[in-house]
Amino acid sequence: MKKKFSILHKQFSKHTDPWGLDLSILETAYKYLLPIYNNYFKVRCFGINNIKPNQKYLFVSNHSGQIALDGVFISMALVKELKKPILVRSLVDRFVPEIPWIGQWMNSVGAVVGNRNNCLDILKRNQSALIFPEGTKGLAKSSTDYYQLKNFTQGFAKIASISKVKIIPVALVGAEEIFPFVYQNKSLNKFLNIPTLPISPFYLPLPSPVDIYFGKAYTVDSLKINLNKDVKNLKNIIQSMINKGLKKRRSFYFTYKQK
Amino acid sequence: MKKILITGCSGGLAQLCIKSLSKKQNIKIIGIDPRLSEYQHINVTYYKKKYSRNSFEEIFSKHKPDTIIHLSRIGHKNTNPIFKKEKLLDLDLITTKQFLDLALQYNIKKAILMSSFHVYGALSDNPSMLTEDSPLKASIKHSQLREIVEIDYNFTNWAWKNQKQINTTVLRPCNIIGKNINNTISQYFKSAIAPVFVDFNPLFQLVHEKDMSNLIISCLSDIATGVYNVAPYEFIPLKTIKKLLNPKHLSIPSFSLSIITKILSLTLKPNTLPDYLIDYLKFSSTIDGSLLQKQLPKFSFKYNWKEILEDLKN
Repeated sequence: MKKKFSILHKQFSKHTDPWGLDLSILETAYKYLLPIYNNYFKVRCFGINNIKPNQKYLFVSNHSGQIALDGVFISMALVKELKKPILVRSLVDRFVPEIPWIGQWMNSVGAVVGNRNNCLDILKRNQSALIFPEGTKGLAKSSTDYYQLKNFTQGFAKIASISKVKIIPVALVGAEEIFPFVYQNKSLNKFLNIPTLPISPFYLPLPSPVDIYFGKAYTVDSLKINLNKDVKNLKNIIQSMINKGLKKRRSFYFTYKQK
Repeated sequence: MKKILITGCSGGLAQLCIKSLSKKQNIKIIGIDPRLSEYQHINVTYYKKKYSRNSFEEIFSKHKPDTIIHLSRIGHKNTNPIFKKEKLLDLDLITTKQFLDLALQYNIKKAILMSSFHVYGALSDNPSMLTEDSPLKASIKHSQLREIVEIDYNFTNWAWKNQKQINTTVLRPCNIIGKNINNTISQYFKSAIAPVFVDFNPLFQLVHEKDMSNLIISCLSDIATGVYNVAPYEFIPLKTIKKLLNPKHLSIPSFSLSIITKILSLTLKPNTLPDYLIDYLKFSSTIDGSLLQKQLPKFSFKYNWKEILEDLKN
C-alpha cells in the first residue's frame, strides 16, 4: 500500500483539494481497514482488467449493506488491486455532511456530496467517481429485497454523456449478508424524518465474504437527449452481474438464497 | 482626467485601493464614509457624511465622477429603538437604490459593486465550486443575511438593465484577510476564545487584502459587464487555519456553540461570532473564481494561503 500511496501523493499534492481530501488520513484509514478487507470480509475482485490505466471512469454500482461499506470496499479495491491505483471519489447522500464527525471524516477520505456539479467537477479534474444510482433506497433494503435493484436515477448517465466518460458497471455480492436480517419500516423512517433505520437482531457486521465484479466499459452517446434506454441497459447489466455472482459466491452461514 | 467615487473610503480595503490609485496620474479620487478616515492621501477629497440621497447628490453634482467603486454596505445604525429590523433593511435598500439611480443619472461609465460569497449560503449540500449562477441561498436559514442577498439582487438587476450605458462589475469575493481588514472572519480567526467545532471541518478560501485591492483596480479596465466570484484555487480546512493562528484554540462540539454565541453576544463583544456564522463554520461555501480569471488573464493572486495567514498572525 505504501507504494500505491506514494503514487497518489504525487498525483494529488499539486493543489489543495476542493472537497477536503486528506491523503494522510486516508492512508491511516486504509492501514487499519486493510486487514479487515483481507481477512474479515475476504474481498475478492473480478474483471479488474476492464479498467485501463491512465483513464478516468464513472463507476456505477449496486448499493447494499445498510452502512455503505460497499463504497469502502470498491474504493479500497481500486487502490489495492490496480498497478496504477485509482483514488475514486464516492458520491454520498446529501445528509452525510450533516452528521457530526462522520461528515468531516468522509470528506477527508475522499467522499463528496452527491450532486451533479460536484461529479462533473471531479471528472473535469481527471479523477474518477463512484455513483450508487439507487441512492439510499438501495442501501436501506429489508432482507426480503436483497440483491434486487431499486430504480436507477438518470443523473449518472447525463453526467457520463456530458463528460464523455466511460461507465464501468460494478456489482457487489456478499455485502447484503453483513447484516442478514433487516427490516426497514418506511412509515417509521418517514415519521422520524431519517433516511434509514435498520431494525435487526445483529448490529455487529458479520464476516460475509464479499466479491466485487467490474464489468466492461459502457459508453453513453454524448449526443443523446433521452438516456432512459442507457439507464435501463446498465441496470440490466448490473443485475445480471449480481445474479452470476450469486451463483459463484462463497458459502456463509447466513447466505441469502435467491428467489 | 478620470474621477472615481469610492464609498466606504475609511475601510481597510478602500484605503489600499486609494493608496494605489493616488499614485497614478490623471486620476481624481472622491471618497465618502460616515466614519472618520484615519488616513489622508494627497489628491483625495474625503467626505465624512451619512449615506443619504442628499449626500450622494451633493457629491455627484459637484465632482461629476465617471467611475464608482462601491465598497461599503449602506447601513443605518439602529439608534432609535422604535426602528424595527424590517424598517432598517427597507431604508438600506432604498438608499442603495438611490445611490445607483444617481450613478445612472450622472452618466457614470464604469461601476464596481462589492457583494460577497456569503450570498450563496453555507449549506451541507453545496457543490464545492459554486459558480456565479448558483442560487443565492444565504437567507433561507438566517434572516440577518437577507440584506446582503437583496442588495446583491439589486446590483445584478441594475447591472444587466443598464449594461448598454454602464460597464458594471459585481464582485463576490471569498474571505478577504489582511492587517487592515477588520471583518468578522478575521476577528474570528485571530480570536483565541472563538472556538472551532470538533465534529466539523469546513473548507475556506482566502484572498489577501492587497490582492483584492489590485484586483479591484484591474477591474477598472474594460471587462465585460457581469457578476464575478473572486477566489484563488485553494481550499483550506478551518482547523488548519486555527491551528496556524492559535495553536491552543478551543474545540467544542457543534451543538454547544449556539449557546456560547448567545452568551458572548450578551456579555463580551456583541459581534464576535454572529449566529449565522455557525453554518459557515460547519459547512463549506467555496466558490469558483475561474470566470473572472478568464476576463483578467494577466492578473494572478500573489499571496498563497500560508502567506496570508502569516501576515495576519504578525
